Amino acid sequence: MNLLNHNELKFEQADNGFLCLKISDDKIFEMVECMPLFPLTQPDNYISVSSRSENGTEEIGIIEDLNKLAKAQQALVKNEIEFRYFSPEIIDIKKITSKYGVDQWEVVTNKGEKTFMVQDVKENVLIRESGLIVITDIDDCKYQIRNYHQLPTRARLELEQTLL
Amino acid sequence: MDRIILPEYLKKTFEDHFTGEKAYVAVASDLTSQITYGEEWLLATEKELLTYSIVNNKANLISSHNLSDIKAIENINLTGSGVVEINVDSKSQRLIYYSNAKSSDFAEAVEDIKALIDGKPLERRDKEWKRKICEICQSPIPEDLNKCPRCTDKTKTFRRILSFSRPYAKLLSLIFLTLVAETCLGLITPYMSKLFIDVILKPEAKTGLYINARWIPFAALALLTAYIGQNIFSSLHLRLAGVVGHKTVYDVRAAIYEKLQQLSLAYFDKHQTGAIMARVNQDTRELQYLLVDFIPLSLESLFVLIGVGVFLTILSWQLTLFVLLPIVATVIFFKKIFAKVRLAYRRYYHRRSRLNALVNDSLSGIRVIKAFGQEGEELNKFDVKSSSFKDAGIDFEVKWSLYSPTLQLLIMSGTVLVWFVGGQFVVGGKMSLGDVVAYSGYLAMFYRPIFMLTRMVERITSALSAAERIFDVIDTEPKVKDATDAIELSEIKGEIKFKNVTFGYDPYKFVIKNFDETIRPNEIVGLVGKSGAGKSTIINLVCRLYDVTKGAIEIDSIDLRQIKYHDLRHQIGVVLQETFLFNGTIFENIAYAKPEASTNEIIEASIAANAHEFIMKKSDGYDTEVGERGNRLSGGEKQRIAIARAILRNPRILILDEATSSLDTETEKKIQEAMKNLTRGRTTIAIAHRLSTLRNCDRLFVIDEGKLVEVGTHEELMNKKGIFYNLVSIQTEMSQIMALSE
Repeated sequence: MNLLNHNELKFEQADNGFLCLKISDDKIFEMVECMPLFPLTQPDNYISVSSRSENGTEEIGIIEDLNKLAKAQQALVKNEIEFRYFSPEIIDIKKITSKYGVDQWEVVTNKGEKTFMVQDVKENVLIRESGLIVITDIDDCKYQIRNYHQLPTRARLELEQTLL
Repeated sequence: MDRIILPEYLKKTFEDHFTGEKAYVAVASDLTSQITYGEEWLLATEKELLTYSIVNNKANLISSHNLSDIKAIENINLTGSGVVEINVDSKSQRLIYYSNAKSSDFAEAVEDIKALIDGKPLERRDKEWKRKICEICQSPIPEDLNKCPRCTDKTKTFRRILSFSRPYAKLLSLIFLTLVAETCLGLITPYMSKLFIDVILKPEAKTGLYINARWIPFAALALLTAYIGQNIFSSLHLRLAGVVGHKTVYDVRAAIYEKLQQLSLAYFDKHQTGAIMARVNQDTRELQYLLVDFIPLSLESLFVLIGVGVFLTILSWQLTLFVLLPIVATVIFFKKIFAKVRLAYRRYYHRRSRLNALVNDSLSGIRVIKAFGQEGEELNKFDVKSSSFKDAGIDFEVKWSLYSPTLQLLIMSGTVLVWFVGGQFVVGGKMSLGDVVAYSGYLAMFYRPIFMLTRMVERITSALSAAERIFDVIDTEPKVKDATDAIELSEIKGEIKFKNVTFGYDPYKFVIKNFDETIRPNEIVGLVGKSGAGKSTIINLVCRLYDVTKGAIEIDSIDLRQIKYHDLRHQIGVVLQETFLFNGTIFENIAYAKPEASTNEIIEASIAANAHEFIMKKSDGYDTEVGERGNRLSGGEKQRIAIARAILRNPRILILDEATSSLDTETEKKIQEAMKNLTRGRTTIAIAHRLSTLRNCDRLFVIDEGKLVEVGTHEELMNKKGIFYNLVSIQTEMSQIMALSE
């Protein structure tokens, strides 16, 4: 496992929408992609950094802890991660209406307000002991509740009525 | 193009910039370049590709590219989202982001833009390509359904459920009659109490004598007759309802199972086995509950409610007005507060299921647990789930112990009120004592139907949801089916032609791209490539488990889709990587390929497959039970049974998905011999992993990311020193390392 040295990494946003990575001045990678290896359980740790070229995508190395990067650098990597693993975090639930096996969720996410539909809760909602909930809607879009115990009380009640 | 209608705010900006030009492609995204929900647009004119951001209903041009500068354009699918990327001056550029909800729109747009770049006419899309939107609620319709589940006419669904009971119409009429009789007899009994008190057991005012006492035996007999009659009709109605319900559900279950057997593999890719099993078992059980219990009981409740209501009003309409107060309070409490008990029970039930699943998982994997010494860890996991189950149990009991007596108290308050108000009415001469006793009896009968009907909407909704899910399966059209003009092909020669085949399990995510090659009759072709390259997909397409998205596969110059499915399947034999054996004997498992095969044929096939040797060493020979999924046999034994199956079928086209698991040298040799016997004189497509198999192939097709990248003999490809050469080198190195480590 090639763990990258946080102090040597310098990410830049290129004009073409990709990230660029310089490692200690002598190594420059273009079209850099970042992917969390544990997107659900450790979203800020173990970020695989790879570079795309004509020969395919090759891993440059792994960032062990994203929080050790400078704030501006973190923001660049997080933006790239959010793009590659788009799974908005639900921070409040306004209403869940169940009708004939289809639930309509009206929620507030960290990416804005959203209404989506979930068919067959048993199949499309994953509940972990830690309180993490992953919901997949009928469009195959994913949403997360990091810890449902920490949702506002009313939102938690809505959730319990639907999921339990 | 007429179909493109731009919103006003975008239309104006676009027309200002590109006066007189026309947008041939226009698609709205639901994400911004900052990866937040928002609106951006991708537009293409005859010459340019444009992106716009929309902020406060104002459009701003973000980028513009000449179509002639764009070397390539494609959709990159990611988790939950996607991006359109273009290649300009040999450099990739991200253009616009979208969530999965917009995938099909952008897939279509990119295809159209490619056509514009190539100067080709824009294609009309297959309707499958477009996201289906409900015309009523404008919500997206799940891909595998043809109707919006939220806007489906529920009365239609209900009628459809009942239509399954139509063959039993006479029995249903009988159920109705028994219900009426049972209800009428039930209503007699409280009234008899009134007669006893007010007439039979009432002494004459003047003499104090019980002059009507002679009626006691007759009245008692009448009461007994009413009770007996009520119970006989109750038993009869339960029995008839059970018969009709079970027969109806049997028919529904048969219909759903028959459809499941007809459905294409694509359906099973999208639905988990557990969910499908839930359709067959739980949803039909829900229907059974509706038909066997709920509808008859609701009907009975309705009759009782009307009958009791009439008697209560006749006995004293004034008292009825008083009694309505606790009844309304009870109904509100039952619906609003008591619902918490039901929620607590659901949570308790849910956690019990999770605990059961854990125990099941743990016991199934007990060997692994012991091998890794993870007993303690498993105990911890069990403890967490068991504790959560315990908490849910305690919560349920606490709620039950609190709310159940409260509910009882509310019910009893009605009876108290009857005696409190009714007692004063008796004193005031407005009612007799018998009236109050009868009234109290009728009131006791009044609550059960109320509770029943209070939950009616919930129960019917739940049953209708189950019915919808069942009908969804029954109504799903198999994606792969015989064409109306399909032809019979009883004898296949074995030429397989791939004509520019493109395919994606999702219609806009291609996993096979422009595959174009021909396999000659009786040729053995090996498919080679990295895991996920598309080898198994090619096999699935040849077997017509899926239909190609673009292009065609021809067998003996006939499009696969024009050949009768039955003829095709009967001439293709398959030996899969993971041999699935059904619970049964070795004989039954080999005969599965040809149920009408004679014993001789089965033994011959086993000998050719080098399976006979191990079978005869089993104590029960061919009658040996293979166990669940064949787990009583070794990997090599299972493979040879699969080969025997294929030999018995004697197919013209053979598909081999070679097992990757390593076998001992002796077994490997036996399987190789069996394979030689099997492939002789047949067109064979093999997904080859072993070098020995690769050498036996006439030609090898090397597949990389869904594209056919190299074709040739083993020798030719080795000399070419391309992808195949690299794959073989890696495998040889691995074999040497493995040999050294042994």
